[in-house]
Amino acid sequence: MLFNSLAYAVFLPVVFVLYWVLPHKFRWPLLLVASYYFYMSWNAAYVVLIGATTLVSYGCALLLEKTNNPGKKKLYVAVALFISLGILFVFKYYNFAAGLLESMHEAVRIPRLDVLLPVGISFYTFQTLSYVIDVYRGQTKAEHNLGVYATFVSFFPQLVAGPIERSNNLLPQITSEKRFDYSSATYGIRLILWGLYKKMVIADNLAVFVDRVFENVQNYQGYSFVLAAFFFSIQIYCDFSGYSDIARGSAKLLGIDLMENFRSPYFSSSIREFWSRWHISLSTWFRDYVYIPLGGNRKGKFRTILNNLITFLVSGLWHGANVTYVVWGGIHGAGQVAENLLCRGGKGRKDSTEQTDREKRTDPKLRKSRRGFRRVFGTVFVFIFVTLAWVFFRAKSLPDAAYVLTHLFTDLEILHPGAYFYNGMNVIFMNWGLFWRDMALYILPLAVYDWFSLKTDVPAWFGKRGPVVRYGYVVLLIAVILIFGYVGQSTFVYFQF
Amino acid sequence: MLWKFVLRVAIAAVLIVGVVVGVNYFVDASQVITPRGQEQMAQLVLAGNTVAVPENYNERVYEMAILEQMKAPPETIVLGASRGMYLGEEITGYKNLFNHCVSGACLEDYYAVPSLYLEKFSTYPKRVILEISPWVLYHFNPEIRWLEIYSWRSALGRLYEKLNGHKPAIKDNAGETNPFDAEGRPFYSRENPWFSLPYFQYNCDVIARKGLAAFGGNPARVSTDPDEGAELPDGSTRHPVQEELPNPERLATVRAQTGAVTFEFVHEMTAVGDEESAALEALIRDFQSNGTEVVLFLAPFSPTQCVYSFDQNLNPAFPIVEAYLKDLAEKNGIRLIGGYDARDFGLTDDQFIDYSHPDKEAIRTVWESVI
Repeated sequence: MLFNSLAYAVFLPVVFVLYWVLPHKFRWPLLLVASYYFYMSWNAAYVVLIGATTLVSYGCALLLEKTNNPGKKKLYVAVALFISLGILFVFKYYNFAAGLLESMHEAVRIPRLDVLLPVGISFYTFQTLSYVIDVYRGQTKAEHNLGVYATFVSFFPQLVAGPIERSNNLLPQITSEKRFDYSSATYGIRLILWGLYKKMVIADNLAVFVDRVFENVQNYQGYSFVLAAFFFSIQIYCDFSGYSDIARGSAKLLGIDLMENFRSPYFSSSIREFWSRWHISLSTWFRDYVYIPLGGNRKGKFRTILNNLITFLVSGLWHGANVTYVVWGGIHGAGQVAENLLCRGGKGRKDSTEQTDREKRTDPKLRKSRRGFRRVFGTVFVFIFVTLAWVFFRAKSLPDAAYVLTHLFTDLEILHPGAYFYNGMNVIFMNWGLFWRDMALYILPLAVYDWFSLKTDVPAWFGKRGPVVRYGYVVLLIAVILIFGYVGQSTFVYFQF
Repeated sequence: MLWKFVLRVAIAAVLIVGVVVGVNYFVDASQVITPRGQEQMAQLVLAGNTVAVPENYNERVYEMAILEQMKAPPETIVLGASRGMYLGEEITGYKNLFNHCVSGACLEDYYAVPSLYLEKFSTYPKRVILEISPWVLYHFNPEIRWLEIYSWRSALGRLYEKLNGHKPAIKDNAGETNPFDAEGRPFYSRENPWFSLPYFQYNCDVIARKGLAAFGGNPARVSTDPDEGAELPDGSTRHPVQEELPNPERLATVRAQTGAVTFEFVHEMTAVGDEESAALEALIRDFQSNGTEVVLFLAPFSPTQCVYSFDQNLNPAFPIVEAYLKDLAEKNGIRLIGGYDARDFGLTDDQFIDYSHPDKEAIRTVWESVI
């Protein structure tokens, strides 16, 4: 059941009404039933996997709470990690690993598994792992009610593509008694509509161009690749953050606050800042459960570099069982390491708005303009860096990605630059009129919204305006979605992870 | 507060659905909700009139209306796409001919009209001319017009399944759910034009272009202006005068359209699709086993276009498809007329409406040069 489907448009209101009509004690059971129904609408058989992961993490957490023996604690965590990651490995990485092993030696032949990747397996596996580790660390208490815990793992708005919620945020909200709040509900509606706009109007329409180019890269060159890379950068952001917005909006309708997963990432002026704004729930997960346990930046410059690289490589692998994802992660890791080394001998600056001592001694106006320039330059640089890295993420193989990156400017002739742009657009059925229409319809509203999101909570801001602005915003979004939204078959990119 | 919220959301939902249904019904740009215009058109054409081509009429609905009202099958029919629309009695010399070509025809479309003939008259016409463009045999042809009309799709599906043992498959990159996988008619879908969002978007586009006139409908009328586009009594087409006759603007258009032919993404085609060739051969076999003569017709591309498509090999599939069809014709004793390279027939750019559409005289030249 997709968020942008008619099925969900019926499912959510039914759950919403039942949720608020039912007495408090029946609400989490309703959410549990609804969540399992939601998950089973994809593949009923795979409910066994999420059930198994839930049971294992639930049991291990209870055992962890009951014992003070450090050896036993480590054993319980190891069991949870082994089983949960084992399931993830079998269904997501086994065939990839088998292929890698075979490619290393011709004589090796490993049988393949004919299984579909269970939707959202990486998300709920990580959510359960963080819960078990938090219980192990004593940062959260074990949940004794299996039903409540199963609801936490399977909560339908964030089940298949996050945010990866921490137990101390979501678990208490599932059981706490809530009263219907009109302004929260309308806030949720505004978030859902903005998410649908990003998904249906921006991401899906851009996907038409992007898919065409990346599915057959040999047929294209030059400006087609520049456009495809640029459009994919926008597409994946709108696709994923659109999902997150709909997830947060849906949860908000049920009186539950999910964490913000994106915070205007393309306005970042450093790679580090980008990762503090992009897929925040995953970035913080890797920081807390991989980077810091590896030693973080506490064990010297070399280990910091190594830890950074390992974390990003694993993050790349988390996204998919393909070398392209690992390379993508490696590029970001290398970028962050380079950034750290170039800025203050490895200590790094949080972002380019931080002031150096030298800056503090200069004229405030000059300082401000320099900072502004650095911020703009950094933002453009990071966007280009991230966009080029996305090529590896989207390409079907490393040779495809290399082909795209080495043919970005192949047919650009200095004396006839117009032909470069014309030919590049023509073969993907685009022209300047369409291009500017798309910029006005997709990029501009997105940029304005994200710009304001840096300083304010936009849906809340609209909620505080007069009825003309408040309703005008909603009506405009609905109209644009209905008229320009892509209504063919599409899915969310991050479902595969 | 809860019920106030629910009530407001419900009202909004009703309004949204109401707007979609209202626009679809009152604009109905393709006349699929109220096909009266196409029924009137079919009635006038079958009565021997030349009928002005209304804007946005649905050709497949019109063809079904023709079959519905036809009293007896013609001797010859023409199946194909826009590049075959000039093939009428006058050019071919066949009397009692009807041209059933529809724009954007896919191989699946070639099954629809014969299926309707079989079901209505229990026989195929005596002769079938198949106009075949290269993309018809492209496995990844993304064209979806063939599946948009439920009755059209059902008709072609029945014959297709009978001859091929399975329903047609949706092309991999069409981005559509295979309607043949769904049982019955879903409430919300492309083929339910009342609630269809794609149809709503199309109707909005027509409103943007035509303003309030979009709500006026498209009544059928006999054409009295020889310069306007029209459907002729034999189903062939007359283009508006600025397209029908050679002129500098037309020539400039033909020459400006350079590079690979990208229609239906045929520039990405490198081989004849297995499924498509099997389906074409099955249909031809069935025609022949029922005593129907088959004629293949290949319409050429403009000479300037051919420089790119053939000489520069920007459409590698063109010679492959042509060779395949020639081989098919030879093996099955089928007459093949025409070819994709205009230069083989001595045609010039000024005999084309655009890069892929020869004008009427060019089509006549091609037809007669081979016979």
